[in-house]
Amino acid sequence: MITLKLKNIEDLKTKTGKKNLLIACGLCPYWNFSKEDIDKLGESLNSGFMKLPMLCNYPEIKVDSDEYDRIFVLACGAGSQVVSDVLDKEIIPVADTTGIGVKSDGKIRNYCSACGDCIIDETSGICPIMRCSKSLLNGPCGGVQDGKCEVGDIDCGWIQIGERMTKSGGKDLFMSVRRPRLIK
Amino acid sequence: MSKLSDNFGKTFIVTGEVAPPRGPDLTEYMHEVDEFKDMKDKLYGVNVVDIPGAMLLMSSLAGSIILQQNGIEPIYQLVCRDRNQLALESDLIAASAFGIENVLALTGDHPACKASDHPSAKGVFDLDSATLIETMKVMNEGKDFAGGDLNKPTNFFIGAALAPGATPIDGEIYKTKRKLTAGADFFQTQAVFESSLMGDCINKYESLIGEDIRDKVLMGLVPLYSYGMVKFLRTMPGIVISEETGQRIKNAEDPVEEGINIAAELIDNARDMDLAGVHIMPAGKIEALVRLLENL
Repeated sequence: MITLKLKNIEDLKTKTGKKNLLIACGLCPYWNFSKEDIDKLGESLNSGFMKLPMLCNYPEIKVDSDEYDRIFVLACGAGSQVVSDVLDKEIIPVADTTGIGVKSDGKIRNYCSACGDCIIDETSGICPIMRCSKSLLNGPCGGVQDGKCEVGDIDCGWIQIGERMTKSGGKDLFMSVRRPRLIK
Repeated sequence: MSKLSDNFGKTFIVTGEVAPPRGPDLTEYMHEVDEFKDMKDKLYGVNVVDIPGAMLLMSSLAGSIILQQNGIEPIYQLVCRDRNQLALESDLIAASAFGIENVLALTGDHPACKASDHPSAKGVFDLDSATLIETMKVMNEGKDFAGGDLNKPTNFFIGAALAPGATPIDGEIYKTKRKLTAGADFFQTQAVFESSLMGDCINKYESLIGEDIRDKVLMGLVPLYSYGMVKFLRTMPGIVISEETGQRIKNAEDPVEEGINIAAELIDNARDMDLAGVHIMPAGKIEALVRLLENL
């Protein structure tokens, strides 16, 4: 699913108007956040609430947008733009889109950045663009400590690539130099 | 041929390091340049750091040109964090045009790393250390990274970093071999405070790759000045300072003197391990470098 991170609620409150509406996509936000958290968000923004099915399908939005002076959208970057397109009105996103992720052990981890040039056949099925903080094609960098990245508490993708690759006899492939490619 | 490349492998190499100023006033930098002039017979090069830890400084290219114009051989540090392919190549052409030959190719610390004073800066990382090394290698053949022609080949002596304190170490070892394949001529390690860490790294390289790399390695040294410095350094990734070394500084009557003693012992250890030499990072206390050079 698309991974989302809620924006700072206090910053969002400063953008509210007299009459607010929160439109939420019914798909990815409900995978990222609990229903309770989404309900609370509407209360914090002192807004009316509307849940729509997949915004990426350009659903009909039955709302008189002129009734509201602020329309907030809880969706990915694409879904937020769909609402703006359909209503032909400015909107305020309440979440940041951070990637395409997976959920395991109750934790969400980003696995793909939709970079447009998938090379995971060369990197043991692990994406170095998303799972290395520097998106290096030739990692790991010297900052790795106990298998963790120098930036935050995240596993170093290149250590994982190296372990999986060398286990399957791909030492030479790991030691080869990968050049940046032109994305067509 | 640079003095560094000419002597590498023939004699025990000692290099120093300087940080460009954090502003346009060059007074202090020029004082350091004068001190390096007095040491230039014993030093085979002086590294000019490139915004280490993402903490703003004047460009390392300008700092290197100043050294070059004052008769001190620079080792121009160049990181991939702040420049795309075009900017890196453009700066390398400028370096070569000013007669700079020694370049240390680094990926660079992340803009959001702990030490950074510009955490919102965008990290570029269009190239990384391996592809920057490759770039210099093709520039030495008169080509640019995209395959175009330069009006004259460059003459870079290409350095790269080695982090003996990275854990697990296997990835670092394979990456070092990758850099060697890409065209690295020599390696400088991150600061080492325990010779056993360096020895383990060299032995691991030999067991995983089947080659001896010690004649290409300069061991990085930072003289310790205080127990506060020990505590701070222990928070940095890849830095290992043993309890014993820490206690030596803590209990010393003169911690600066003890730090110089420890660094001098590490220089002896580097010789005993048959390493190519040492890279001394005086961390602002140039007199420690002077003292260490006096005893060589």
